Amino acid sequence: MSLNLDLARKIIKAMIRFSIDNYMLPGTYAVTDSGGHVIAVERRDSGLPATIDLAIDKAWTASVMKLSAKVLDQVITRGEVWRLNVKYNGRMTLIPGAVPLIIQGEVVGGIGHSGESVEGDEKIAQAGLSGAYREEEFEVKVEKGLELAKTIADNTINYVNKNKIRPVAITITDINGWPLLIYRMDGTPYGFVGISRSRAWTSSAFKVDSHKVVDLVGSMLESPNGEGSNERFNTTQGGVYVGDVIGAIGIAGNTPEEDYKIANSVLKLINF
Amino acid sequence: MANLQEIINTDIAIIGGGIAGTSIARELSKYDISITVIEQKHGVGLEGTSTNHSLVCQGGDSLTFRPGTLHAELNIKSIPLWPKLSEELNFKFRRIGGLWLIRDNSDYKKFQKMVSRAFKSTLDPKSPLLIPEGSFSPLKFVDKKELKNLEPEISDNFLGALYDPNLATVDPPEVAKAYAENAKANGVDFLFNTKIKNIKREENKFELHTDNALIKSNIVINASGIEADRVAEIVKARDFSYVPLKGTLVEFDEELGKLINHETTILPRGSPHLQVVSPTVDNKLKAGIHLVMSFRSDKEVKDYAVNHAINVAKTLYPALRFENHITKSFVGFMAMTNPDTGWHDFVIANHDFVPNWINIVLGPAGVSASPMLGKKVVEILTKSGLILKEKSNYNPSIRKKVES
Repeated sequence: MSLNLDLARKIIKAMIRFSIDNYMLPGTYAVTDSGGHVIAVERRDSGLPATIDLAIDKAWTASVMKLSAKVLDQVITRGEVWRLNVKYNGRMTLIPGAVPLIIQGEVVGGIGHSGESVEGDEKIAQAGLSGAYREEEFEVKVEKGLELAKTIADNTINYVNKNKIRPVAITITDINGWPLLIYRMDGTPYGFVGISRSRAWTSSAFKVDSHKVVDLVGSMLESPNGEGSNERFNTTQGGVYVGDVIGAIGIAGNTPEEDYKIANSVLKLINF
Repeated sequence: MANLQEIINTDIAIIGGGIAGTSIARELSKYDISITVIEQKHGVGLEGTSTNHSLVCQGGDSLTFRPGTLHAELNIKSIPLWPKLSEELNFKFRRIGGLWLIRDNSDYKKFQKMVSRAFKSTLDPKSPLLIPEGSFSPLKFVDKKELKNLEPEISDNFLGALYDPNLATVDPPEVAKAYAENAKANGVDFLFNTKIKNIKREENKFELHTDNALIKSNIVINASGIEADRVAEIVKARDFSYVPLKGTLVEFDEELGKLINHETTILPRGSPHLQVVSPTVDNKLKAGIHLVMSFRSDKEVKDYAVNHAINVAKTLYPALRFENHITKSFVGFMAMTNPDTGWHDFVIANHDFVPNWINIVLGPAGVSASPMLGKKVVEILTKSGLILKEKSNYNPSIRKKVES
């Protein structure tokens, strides 16, 4: 077993199943690699938008500290986390719900959940870790938006594999521009995750494909673009506006032209 | 075929005939209530109960468990119950004592902490780990000479040891069988070779579908060991998570067993694998334990895991030829909760949204805690409103054969 997109999705599926079975609040489920970079993130439709970056940062914390937030808080820093966060601008997250993914005794990534109570987040993250060690297949029914996002992502992965192009990062946002799903295909450099999210946000925010935004605003530099926030301006090709159930798709990993073609072809494939 | 199925009505159904299921069945058999134990194999204690190091944490080691957890509480409360239990049920209970070997100053410091903790636990009535009076001999440090007296074959590399005279060992399947036979004699039904296929919940009654019977029960106790999560998921009653922790142990024959009298262990450094050599009730030896998180279908005994056990044994007893005395090597699974931190805890709780369903997850030191397990379940059942009336004719020692 090694950490790849399939395993990350399996972990997320186990977390979603656990939270649905136990009538827990919907939120965001995130898995990062050993460097803390996103492999897969899913947010259920009614999950709070703010939980996305919280869940990602929790997984990041577990990855880069190779520890649970619980241990970091209670054993290592003992209430003095601000000392760490002077360096990390608040990204170091000590809220339980951040659990390292351990395979063969080694920390290979992080699992984060946000959206429930402190105890709930921890339980769901633990369910993710235990989900990595489950073998049987099961079905989980999620809400309309995330379901559609997963269908699009599956089709994108198939399209990329079939056409033998370079693997890509996929971001799918809701109509407000907040991600419902972020996947990084195996072999995609992690830098493309941010690009795909920026393209998806730009398309959502201006309700046109990302590269057409320049025609509307006249400049490439006018819009807000902040690290860690959801406002990420990017006017290269690869963001396609949908505006029905989901907001937009952002693809990154090849040339912008190729990324744009992938997004369009996939939408055509599923008759959107 | 479905209409030919036998229908069994019972008050409490216990899924799983391991150490958890049988000890709970025995405790509940003290009360006037009908109980059925459902076991998928042909006898009791054939899975996790039979594949472990067989130690009963009787002192020092149960004090290393995290205070405030059920894991620590039940283990410590079980300490005074074991000798009485072995008398009542007539199973072998061997007090071997444990030696925590000291390599250097850092080991010594760690053990000092343990000793002071043990001392406090016997003194302070408010201690979360209070050990009942009279059931615990104090831990003490022994020097190299004394260590050699206790264990003549031990390596010369150790400076001394922390000696815990309390540690004991049993044969867990024998204990499970004793629990089961006593429970059966007191009116508990056992269904063997019966695998749960489906569970339906109608109002607050459960229908347990199996190949050969339909069991209708008011209360279900899910004591299915490493399968507890799968069973709980059938009725959406899984509010816990664990990872299967695969342990590999090697057993050595009596010829070596008679040379070693104490459990000997060194603290692992920078490795998750335990380093223990321990005698068993029948004078054999067990060594290990190579631990790795794995899938529960991964039951293969790996060479490197066996080598780990032999290396451990040879580090502790360099003069003995362990390779020539292996009787078997085996794999067992523990359900490890909070595997990321190692802050393991038992799960013994009813589910918030599925009334009358009790989940049991034990994992490490489950056998040691088994005398308290049933009492905890009785407490939960009473709290949830069940009125339990004690039987007048309960006999704690009577036995009746259970195997099918």
